Amino acid sequence: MVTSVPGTRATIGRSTGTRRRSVRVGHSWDASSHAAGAVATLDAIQLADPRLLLVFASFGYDLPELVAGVGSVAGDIPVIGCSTAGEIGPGPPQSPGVVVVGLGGDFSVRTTHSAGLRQDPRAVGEAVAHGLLPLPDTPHRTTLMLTDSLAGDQQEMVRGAYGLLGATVPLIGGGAGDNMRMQTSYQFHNGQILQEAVVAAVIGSDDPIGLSVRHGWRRSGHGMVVTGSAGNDVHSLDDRPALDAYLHRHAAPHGLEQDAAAFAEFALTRPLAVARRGDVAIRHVLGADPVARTLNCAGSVPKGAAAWLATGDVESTLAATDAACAEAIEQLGEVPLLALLVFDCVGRRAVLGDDGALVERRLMNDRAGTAPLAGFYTYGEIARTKGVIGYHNQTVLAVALS
Amino acid sequence: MTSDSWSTSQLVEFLAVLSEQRDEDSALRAAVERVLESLDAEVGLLFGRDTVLTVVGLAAVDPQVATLAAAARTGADQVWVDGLGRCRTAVVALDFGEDAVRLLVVRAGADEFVPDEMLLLRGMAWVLHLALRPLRVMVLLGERQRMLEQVARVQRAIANRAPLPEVFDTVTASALDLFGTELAMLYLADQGVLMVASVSTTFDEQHQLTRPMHLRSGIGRAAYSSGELVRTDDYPGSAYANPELVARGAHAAMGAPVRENGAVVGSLVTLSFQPGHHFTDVQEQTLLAFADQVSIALSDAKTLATAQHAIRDAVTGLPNRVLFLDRLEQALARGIPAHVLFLDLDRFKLVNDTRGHCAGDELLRQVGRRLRECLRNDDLLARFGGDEFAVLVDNGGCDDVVLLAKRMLEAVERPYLVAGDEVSINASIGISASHDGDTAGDILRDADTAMYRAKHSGGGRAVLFEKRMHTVLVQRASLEADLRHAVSRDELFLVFQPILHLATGHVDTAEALLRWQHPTRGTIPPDEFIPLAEETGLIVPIGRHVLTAACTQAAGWVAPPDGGPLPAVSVNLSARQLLDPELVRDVRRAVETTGLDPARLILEITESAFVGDAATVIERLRQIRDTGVRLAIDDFGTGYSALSYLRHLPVEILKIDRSFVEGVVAGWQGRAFLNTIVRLSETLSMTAVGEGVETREQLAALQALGCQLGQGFLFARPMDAAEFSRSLAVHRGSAVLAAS
Repeated sequence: MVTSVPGTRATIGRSTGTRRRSVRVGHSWDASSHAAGAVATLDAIQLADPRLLLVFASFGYDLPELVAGVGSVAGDIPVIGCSTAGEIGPGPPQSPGVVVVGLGGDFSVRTTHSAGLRQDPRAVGEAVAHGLLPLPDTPHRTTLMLTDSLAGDQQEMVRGAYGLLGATVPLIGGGAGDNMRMQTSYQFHNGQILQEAVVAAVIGSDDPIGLSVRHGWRRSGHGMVVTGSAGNDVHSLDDRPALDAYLHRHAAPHGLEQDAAAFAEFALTRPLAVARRGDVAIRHVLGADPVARTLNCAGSVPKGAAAWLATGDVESTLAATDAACAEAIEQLGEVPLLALLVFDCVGRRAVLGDDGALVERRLMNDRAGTAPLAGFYTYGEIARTKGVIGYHNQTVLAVALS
Repeated sequence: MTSDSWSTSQLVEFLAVLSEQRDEDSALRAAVERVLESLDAEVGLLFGRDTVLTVVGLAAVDPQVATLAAAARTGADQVWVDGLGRCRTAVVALDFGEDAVRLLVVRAGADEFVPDEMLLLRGMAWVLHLALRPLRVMVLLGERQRMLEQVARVQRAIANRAPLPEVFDTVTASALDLFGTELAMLYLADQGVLMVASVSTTFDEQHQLTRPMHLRSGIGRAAYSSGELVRTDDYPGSAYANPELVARGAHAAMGAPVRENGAVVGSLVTLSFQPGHHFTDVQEQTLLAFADQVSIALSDAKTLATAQHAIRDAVTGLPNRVLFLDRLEQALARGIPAHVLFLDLDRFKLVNDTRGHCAGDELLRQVGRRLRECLRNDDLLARFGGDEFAVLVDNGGCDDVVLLAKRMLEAVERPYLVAGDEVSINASIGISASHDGDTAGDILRDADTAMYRAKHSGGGRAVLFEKRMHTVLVQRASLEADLRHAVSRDELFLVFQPILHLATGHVDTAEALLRWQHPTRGTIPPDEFIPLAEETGLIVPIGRHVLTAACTQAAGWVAPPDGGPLPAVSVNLSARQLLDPELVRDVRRAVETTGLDPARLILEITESAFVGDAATVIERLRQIRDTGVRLAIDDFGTGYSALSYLRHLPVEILKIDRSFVEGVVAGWQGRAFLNTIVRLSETLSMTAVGEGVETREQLAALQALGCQLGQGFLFARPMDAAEFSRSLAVHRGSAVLAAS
């Protein structure tokens, strides 16, 4: 069942001439869920004319309590957010908490949500897009979507949204997390807590919004041909059962596939690279079917495509983060950066380890300079900036607001 | 896998996506979306002369849509889109004529659409064009399969290093087979003069054409000059008419341009001499697509032909085929026993396609060095081009050569470092030995045959040539000869498998199934001889025999004592029989001579029967139905799943393919599909039959879904005529059904 709440508590404001926009990031790691939500929100709304709040909260919180805490401060300011497997903000990488981003001033904003991803992801994408119409009549605009990547074909959801919103609006965002349990996640829209849903906001601005997506993975070993697949499931590689080919090529421990959690952890840093026009697309391997000997990926893997094992190291992962942040900011030209939002895949976080994550955070902060930094570690990234394929795995997306 | 086969896979995926769509609008939208995804483009439009059918990437009401369509109509290759900036465009027609629907693809940035992308785009347009008419999709599936077979034939000729004229002859012979026409010609331009490169005809030796050496006019020239497909259904009255061909009765003709790297280099022409023959739109598309594939093949062949002028291979520095053959011929002339090892790298194309030709060349050099290290000083290693190597071993024993082949395989399989990356490949080797009277060509052919056997067995192995690899072909010819006499020798007989009412257990129908008792080879399974009969056309006289025999048997059946109805008999008709103009007369005659109530005869056809001339087939089926005979669709669900086309067919019975019955207990999808078919059959007042019922679970599921009839081993295996009559005489309902 697809449900939709088009344009709930919409706040449409056309900016008027002079640049009067601001972004502020609040953060809390208070043990009390209600207090953490309230404190971080209170910090975030210390700006003129708040128009939108983005909430990225650790899955470990009592989320209804946290959302109630946010709501107690936010009042009628539109809120979208989600649970995460780690936040990016003022706090250190290893410390779970809640990050709230406040956008104020001449941002034109409309929010919506739709649930039912598992049943009909395309309809959810369409419903979300419909809920965001009419788009703000500003020179620059983007649609931020927070989704449940563990439910349904996300590219199909993006197709649905693209079908209505078209090529002239970038789609960005990421998949909510559950502290690496890979079972379920939550999305927030105003006071509601949702599952298998997409919450979204269209953000319009008179000044540019810079976007860049990178991955930092390399192809490893010889290529394979995807000889059998259906949607996100890979049946065979080079005519061998896909799971066997994958385990063999990685020289994986015997019987690994029998332990779902162990396999998921192993696969987190060992995605597949699938040939695309002029590049590769990275596909996170979510799990395996030890009986059918198939792989389940977090994105479609077309039959007939060339595929490789992908390897990443700390150096290339950090380089991709730095390049994405730099490129997004560069797109602003002469306009000063207001805030840097980063949606960074949990798989890349696993490659970095705790030490690498600290370095990565430093790189992000260096690029952000005096502007605030916020985001979260994602289960899949939405970044349709070119072409129509908008759902990615194992990438980092940097968004520069001005 | 080559980029061509990747394109092929993408087309197959594309077709699969289209066939999943619920209606035409969603099919069009899905088609455009997938095209954009494949080409990394942002905006796609399907538009006609005055209308826009589908837009993806812009709102339908966006005024830019009309602007883009107008720009596409004028042939603009660059456009400006607000929000995207300057964009490249590509336009392909889904059809011909002024009213043709066209697909516009818009990609942001300066990257032009390269020839490979245009080829894929044309392929997708071709698929989409056919998908717009559900019946035509079935045509597509058949045409496509046939086209790929013929393209494979051409590519095989090139892979076997046939001389260029032979490759050209394969091209025209393939075109002849593909269209069932009498004449096919390939023209290639040589410094602006269009020369005949090959002619294939069905004319006998005495009546071959006076072969024109060059062409200043005619349909081949028109296709070459215009760069577009040219077609006429009135060849004698057309501007292209050639007096000699008109005198011989040429009736209809088509010509398509042959390109090389985008430039027109010739044309491929086919002519029909059958009165009243009309080429279809589908055949036009097929000729264009075939010409595209031929273009690729010709490029390869030309490259090879050039390379053959030299003695050494430019990439590896090894001797080439010319030198190798020379050495082999010398050895044979001196009576020295020789072995040839023919090695083909598995998966080399993948390296070449994904890492570039420089990396591919580097890999070939490394392979060459490793192979050289495996050999004695006197052995000759050559590269034949592509990914093929050959080794000539003089004076070696067979066992030594097999060991050498193993060493070569191991050497090739060790990982390589190419352009900083680790690469692994393996190889297949065919081995042949010289015998008295063998030519160099014979030995090479045998090694090649063995190598293909090695490759088809999974690669990474060596296979020694055996005579029986050739004798398989001879055996097949022998079987065909026997089949020609099988009817007159009374070796063909029928068995009957009952189809039961799932509610009552009564026998509703018995399906007549053909068997062949060969005098020396015993019972030959139908899947071995029926395809042969279809290929050779023998299916028509055999089918006629089956029809009469089945009606004769059914006329003698008596109603069962338990009050069940007198069963009908069902007989399978092949697609080939449906094209036989005598079919309706044969059916009528079979019913009249045996006295069988026409309503007790059911003719089963498969969805593939509509491949080819669907309109003629439907008309023929209507005539059969008018005689009172009933019609059934066999193996339903295995063809294109556009269920809506059924309403146009004069069919009363749907036999649901066994794969869906098998799947019905496996999961909700199988069950949902079956449910859809059963509900559809109800809506269309058809009777649904579940085929291949083998378990009680399947039976229970079919009953629960309301499927009326069932057939399968759970109820009864096929039995001979006498046994079936006996079972009918004592029938008391199915024990299985009684138990359920």
